[in-house]
Amino acid sequence: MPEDSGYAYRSQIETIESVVAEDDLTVVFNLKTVTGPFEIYMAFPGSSIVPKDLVESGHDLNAEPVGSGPFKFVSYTPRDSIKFVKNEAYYESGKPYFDEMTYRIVADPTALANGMKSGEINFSNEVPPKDWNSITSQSNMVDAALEGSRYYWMLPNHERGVLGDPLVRQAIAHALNREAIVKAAFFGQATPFTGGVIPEWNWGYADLDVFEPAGNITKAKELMSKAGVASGTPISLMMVSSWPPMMSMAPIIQANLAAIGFDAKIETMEVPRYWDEVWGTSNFDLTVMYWLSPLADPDDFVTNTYATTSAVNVQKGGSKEMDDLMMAAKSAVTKAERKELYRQQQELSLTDMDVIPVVNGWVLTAHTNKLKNFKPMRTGFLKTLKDAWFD
Amino acid sequence: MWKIIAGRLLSFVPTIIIASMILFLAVNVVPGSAARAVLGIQATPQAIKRFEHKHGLDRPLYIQYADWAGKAIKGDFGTSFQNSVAVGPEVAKRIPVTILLASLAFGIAILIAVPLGALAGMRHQKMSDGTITTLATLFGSTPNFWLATLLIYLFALKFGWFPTGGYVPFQDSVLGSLKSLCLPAISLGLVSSGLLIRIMRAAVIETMESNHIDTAISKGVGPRRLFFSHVLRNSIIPFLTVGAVEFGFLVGSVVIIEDVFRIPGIGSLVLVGIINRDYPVLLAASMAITLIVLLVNFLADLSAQLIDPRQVKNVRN
Repeated sequence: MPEDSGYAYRSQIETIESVVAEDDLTVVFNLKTVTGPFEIYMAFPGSSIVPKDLVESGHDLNAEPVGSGPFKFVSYTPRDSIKFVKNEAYYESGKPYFDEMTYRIVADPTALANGMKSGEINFSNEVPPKDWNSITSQSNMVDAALEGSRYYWMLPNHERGVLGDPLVRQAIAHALNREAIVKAAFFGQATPFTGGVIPEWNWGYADLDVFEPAGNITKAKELMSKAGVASGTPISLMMVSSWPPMMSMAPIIQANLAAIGFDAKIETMEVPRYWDEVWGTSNFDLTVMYWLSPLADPDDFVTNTYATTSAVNVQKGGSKEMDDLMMAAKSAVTKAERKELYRQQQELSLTDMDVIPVVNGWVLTAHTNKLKNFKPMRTGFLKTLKDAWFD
Repeated sequence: MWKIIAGRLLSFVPTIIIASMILFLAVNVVPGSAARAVLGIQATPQAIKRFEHKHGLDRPLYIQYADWAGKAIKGDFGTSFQNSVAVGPEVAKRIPVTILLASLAFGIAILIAVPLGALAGMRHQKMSDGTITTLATLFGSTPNFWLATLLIYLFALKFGWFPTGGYVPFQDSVLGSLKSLCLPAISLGLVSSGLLIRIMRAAVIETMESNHIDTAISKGVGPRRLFFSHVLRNSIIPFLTVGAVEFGFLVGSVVIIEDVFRIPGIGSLVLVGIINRDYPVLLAASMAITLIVLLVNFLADLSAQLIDPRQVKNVRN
């Protein structure tokens, strides 16, 4: 693939040397190097195999997606719904059990909660945390929540004054009261990070107990003193105004920063402007972002976050040592080798503190008790709906 | 009469052109790039450049406008940046939904405003006048989205009389459609009635002070006939004129209400366009609202002309 392709996930397929279709049901990928997460990469929706002649004919896959999955796309009404019908030619005989499915887009969290409470909406994997208890306490609803891969992290801009000093970044990391953030922003439905960004449920998890869930202001102050940061140093925290968890955690973070000597101001902007200012030009001091890892391989938790060449390295961090470690971890042959290398990578991440892990969100799925055999996925994907049915 | 109709329709043209220019400029100068809104945080500089080139966003603004306007005149409003769906048909599909919602809301506003405004005007400076004026202020100052939340809580969740949201197409079920639009229409109509009550009241007060009312009373015209044949007929013109303007505001204010109630109208499309910086969608939806407002104002003027051409001349003077 050309370097200027603009494909954000180019790094996933750069390892491919050649692709051969051996027969109607077999594809052989010849890789340039050992790539541990390669199978997972190919399971990524962006890596879907599509008919070449369809693409070359100019068919717009964005407007009319095609696939060989359990459901076929019918129509999309903006900010309203996506309709599907059963794919009669699906390779798993007899599945899916639904004849059709309408995926309603309900942008307003209150409207979604109201719909679930009244029974008009009988499934959601985006239940607002503030309404979780009131929805799942209903006798006809099933609580299918589980810790997911939606991790929140704070980005300190390394090119902004004192934030270029790893001691200061460590200080901020230790100052954060993650327990309070879980309670206030997520109503208890999140897990505070006490070490690296790979969550406990993932095989790449390293049990590195570095942060106290309620924060450690004493330790943070010591680090600030070591870094020689003057009390009252101004700093701004840029947040997206339309994302409730961000706005809820902002005052907590501001208070934590104030406790260690920063004069912290909260600035807000709406999403498109935020993309431009923060993501386009790195015009920020501190911000909070979240990433939904769709791949569940440790590589996806770390490469996007820490790689020097990552498209989301807006904090201008990264190092050759980190890049080399992540490449080694990706290329190691056995899972045990990879696990050890990810441990080393996470240890390094907590020293460099390129980004500051905050919390890992849960996938809040609730559905009618008439829906049977649905198994939620940590990525939040709905692939397992193919195995579910209505009683 | 036909001269007036033709003249008014012709005056639409410069209005639409100016409105389209203002909208086009507004959409393009607001911070936040369409490319990044569509491509997401992982967008590479190359992808952004490619996107902007594909959609002509790297051209001077006046060329972009000329291109867009030239196509819009032929009914081609382009395709959505988000999903490449043709915008024109999507907008056309949603116009009837919003018009139905706005009409129901306006109907509710009139049902509230005409009797209450007339009563307040007829009982000027009495206790009922004061009470109704206070109610009008309360209605007019209530945020419609707050009222919507309250109505949903009470009538949808607590009593279960109405759905919390969603829309049933009119052609599928008339009753279902009206039921699904009832709470959103009340949210909009009740708030709109605030201003309309005051307009009706002022118009009735002015009419009551006119000489021909004194003449009618001295001729022994009964209160019922006095009100319907003289007071109401003369008060309705200014009410209609302001009412048309208020209908325009109503159409514009459906944006949040359609989102709260999950109604697939023009308003929610405007929201899509704003949030996603989906310029073709935003422009087409906004122009649709502009056209609706112009048309409603035109129809209101026409109705006023039909009811009493002299009054129209007076109001204009």
